[in-house]
Amino acid sequence: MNEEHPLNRLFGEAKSHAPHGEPSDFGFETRLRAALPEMTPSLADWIATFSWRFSAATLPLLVAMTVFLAMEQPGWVPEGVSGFVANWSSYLPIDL
Amino acid sequence: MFFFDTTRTRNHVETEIPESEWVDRARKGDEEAFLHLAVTYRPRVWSTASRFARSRAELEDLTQDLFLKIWKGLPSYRSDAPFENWLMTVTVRGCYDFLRKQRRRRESELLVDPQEGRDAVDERSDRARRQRDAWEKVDLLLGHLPPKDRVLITLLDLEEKSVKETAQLTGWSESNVKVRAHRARKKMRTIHDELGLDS
Repeated sequence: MNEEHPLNRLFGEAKSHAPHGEPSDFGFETRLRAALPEMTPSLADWIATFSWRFSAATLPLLVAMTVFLAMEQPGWVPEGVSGFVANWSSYLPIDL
Repeated sequence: MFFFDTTRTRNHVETEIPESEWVDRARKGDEEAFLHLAVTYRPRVWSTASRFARSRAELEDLTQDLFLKIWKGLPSYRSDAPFENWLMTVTVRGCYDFLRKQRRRRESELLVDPQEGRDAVDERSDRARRQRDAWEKVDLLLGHLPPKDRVLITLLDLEEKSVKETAQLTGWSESNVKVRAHRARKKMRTIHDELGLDS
């Protein structure tokens, strides 16, 4: 750092200054106590987190299921799609 | 009434409980234990957050939000590191998020009158007045920096943290901290000279 620059003197003096004074004890604990229960995750939050965490594992499973169904029931998917799926399914690591 | 003053005994017992026990209880969802920790660490969190808030009311809200983040993040705390280090890491990162969110809003707002609130400031000594003036100039210069640089300069030059500590608190690499801080100081010196703040 450039020791000669007046900015360094400013830093030296500013670091001892508390910009908004000291914290007052009034109301802090009460406010925080009231806010804490709202932060506790509900069942819906927990399910949302759980499903998000497992979404990566769900995707290949979904692809494999779609491929399996497309091959088993060619009539369910639009014409041409079952042939396309049959060609590409050989690259999957599972034997369908 | 002395006979009904049970707080004396309770406070005496509470001080004997080690901090790790309070932390452990809080991690398990004990709100009273967390409140005990919050009261203990509030001055530390307040002091750091005060460098980023523009008013006392904003600082009160920011401090509360930071403690809610700490409460939410407690289950992820691993006791192999000191609790204070983890708490300050959450605080610094929370302040950085606060700055990023506030930046756009601040740019569209009118500048706050620097005279506002001066009456409340302790004017008892020349030294206190010099320190306040210096802070106002530094704050003005910090306002020209992006949030990331502002956090770095605050930690390095105002909170007197080392590069290593700053890197740990922010989660950025030491070389990144050094390079960004160097550029930020250079920019601050340029603006300082352009604005003639020394006069």
